[in-house]
Parts: sequence; structure tokens; C-alpha cells
Amino acid sequence: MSTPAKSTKSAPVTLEQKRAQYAWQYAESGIGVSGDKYRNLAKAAPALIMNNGLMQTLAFLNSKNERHHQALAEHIRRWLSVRGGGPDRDVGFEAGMKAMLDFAPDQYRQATDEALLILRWIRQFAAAL
Amino acid sequence: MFQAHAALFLYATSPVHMGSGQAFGLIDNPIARERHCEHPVFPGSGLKGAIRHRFHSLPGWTEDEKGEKLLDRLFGPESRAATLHAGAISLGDAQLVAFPVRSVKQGYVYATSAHALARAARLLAQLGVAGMPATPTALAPGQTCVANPELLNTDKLHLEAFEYRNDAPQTEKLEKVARWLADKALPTGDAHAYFRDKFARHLVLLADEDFNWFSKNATVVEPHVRINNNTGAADSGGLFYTENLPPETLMLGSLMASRERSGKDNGLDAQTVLAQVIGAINGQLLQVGGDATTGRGLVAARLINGVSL
Repeated sequence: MSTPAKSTKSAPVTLEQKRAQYAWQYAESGIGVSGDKYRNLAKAAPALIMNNGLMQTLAFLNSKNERHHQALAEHIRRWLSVRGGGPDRDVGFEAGMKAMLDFAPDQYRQATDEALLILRWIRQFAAAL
Repeated sequence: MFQAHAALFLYATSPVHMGSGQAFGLIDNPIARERHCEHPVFPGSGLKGAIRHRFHSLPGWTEDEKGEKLLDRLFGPESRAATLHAGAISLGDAQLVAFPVRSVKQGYVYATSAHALARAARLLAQLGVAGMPATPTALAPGQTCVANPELLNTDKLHLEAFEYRNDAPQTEKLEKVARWLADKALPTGDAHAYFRDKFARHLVLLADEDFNWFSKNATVVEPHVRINNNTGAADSGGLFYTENLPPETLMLGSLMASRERSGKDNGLDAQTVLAQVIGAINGQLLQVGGDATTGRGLVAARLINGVSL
């Protein structure tokens, strides 16, 4: 038996924990920026994606140009960048769209799944914060 | 054990909300799904209640003790009844056979997968229902097999935002399955002729994972708000999202019967029990699941008698 590691902040064990961790940050900053507006938008976002698709939803959020729309779009893009092996930062609307236009169908499907999985957490945390 | 069996095909003609209670997921009121493949499912208990309820609206049905007694004999008495015995009818969960998906060509298609068809074939075999043609084998992700070239742009099928390459070798197999299901599973009568014909022509085979994705992500998700009586506008705090199975979905369940268990000497035998229930629901429109008062849950039932096993 090895001795247990010192209780420093260890890396998350599962991907789902990682999602939760990131979503917590996103939700905190979103609520900080625009409170209830962000909360309701996070609640609506999964239905928007399911009914209209990921790219349409990101385009819609971008077109609204209000702070809570911008914040949520940024959080989705940041997470997609993290999951794609990139840095935890927003690549921006244009670069994000350009990248997705070149996605193979299975990549686009995975991106949609990931967006929904992070929103699942953001939605809960935003409601709880 | 159950001595008499029938396959129960259910074709949705409205959105259906067979809920799974409150969830902490993407949707506030999701529909019930199977754990391992996330296909939508109609739990047998809900179907049993809906069918018991259906008896009350049969022509000539009178709301009296005699009627309730018959229902108790068929479906089992209330849990607080003086004499407890099992019902003589068993309703299995209804599983997904085909799911409607938006298509660039021809409006929409009926999507299915090797897994969904194989499960349907297995259940039919278990119920002693013969005749379903051999099911196609599984496709690779991104591939499709279509029964009709009118769905394709050159060799590509476009569903929602996705593109699938047509893989032709199994076309004939799929055509036979599509034709058989259109004839045996979809509702009969002129009113449904368009849909039987479309099903036979526009059933498309997808890879199991692609099909699962649509069955999870292409349902009907709708926001609900509470309207304030005074202002006529939406009240705050009443927003929730609810999920429905789309109309034109085809499900398959099982109906099994045993002899009556009430202990009476002149109890009904299994065939009679089954015939009673089939007579009450075959070819009828049932209402299953929630939100009945907003037009949800209308399914057309069609039964195929199985041979006794």
C-alpha cells in the first residue's frame, strides 16, 4: 500500500467531473455578468440546440449581441476548445464557425453532444448559484 | 405463465409524453428512455393503465360494478381490494422500431437501425409472430441504406444537418422489411394509406450510433410558460421545457395473457382473455402518457396474434 497523496488539488478523476468544474466557473461568471438573464438563457439553450442545431444556436447568440448571449456563447466555445485539445479560451465567433464548417459529420455530432453535456451542468449551477 | 401472445404495434399520430419524472438534465420533463441505448420506451405499466382506461369508452360499456369486476378479472384488482389476485393480462414495455427524421428530400424519412430491427424481430419471434423478413446487418457510422433512390442527392442522404453515404448492397433486404412493416404494423384504413405507402418507400437504415443520436436529439422539445391573468404576458418563474416523442414514431410492445387468476371456477381461459383485450383496442386510437388535455399521447394500436408457444 502506498501512502495516500497529499491533499493538494488533484486532477479530476472523470471527464464528467471536469465538465462540472468548468461549468461551475462559467456559470459563476455568467451569473456575475447578467444574473437571471444568463440563468434563463442557460435553461433555454439545450432546447435551442436540439431544435435548431449547434451552429444556428451559436449564430443566434452572436446576433443578439447582449451580454448574457455573448457570455453563454463564449462559454460553449471555450468548452469545445478544451474538449478539442485546445486552450480554455474563446476562439471567437468567426473562428469557431469556420472550424465547424470544416467538421466531418461525426465531429459535428460530437461537438453538439459536448455542448449539450456542458450545458447540462451550466444549467444546474446557474439555477443554484 | 402466459399461454396466449400478441404483438402490439403502436404508431404515434400526435406527440407522446411518456414521462420519466423530473430530471436534472437538459430538459426539465424528459421522456422515458431505455438505459443502455437511450431509445424512447413506453413503460408497460403506463400502457396497461391506458388500455384498462380504454374499456370505459367502449360502445355499450356501462359504469357499474359488473364492468369493474370484469376489469379486475382481466387487469387485476386495486391493491386495497379484499381478495388479491394477479391480472390475466401482461403488457410489456414498447420499444422503438422507427423514428421520423427531417430530410432534405421528401420531407422526412422513417429512420431505423440494425439494432432496432433485430430487437423487433426477436420480440416477434418470442411472441410466436412469424413472417418478418430477414433484418439487414449493421452499417458503419456515416453510412446509410435507403429503400428508394428518390431520397438521395447522387449517393448522399441528407438528414437534418448530416450527410450519409448510401451503401447499396442491402437495399433489397431493407425494402422487404419496410414493405412488411408497412402492411403489418402501421394502422389500417384509408386515412393511413399515405403513411403506409411512405413507410414502405422511405424507411432508411442508419448505423446504430447514428440512429441512437437522432432518437435522443431529434425529439420535440417545447418551452412552457405560465400566462399572468392580469397582464396576459408570461409570468416569471413558470418556464420549463418538456420533451415529446414525435408523431409518426413506430413502437412495438407485447401483449400476453394467462387464464384468469381470480380463483373462480368458471374463469376465462387465456385465449378468451386475449381476445377480449384485442377486441377492445385493435385498430383503435389510444391515449397513452401525460398531457392528454393538450392533445398528447394519441397512438394507433395494431395487434398481430402470435401462435401459442
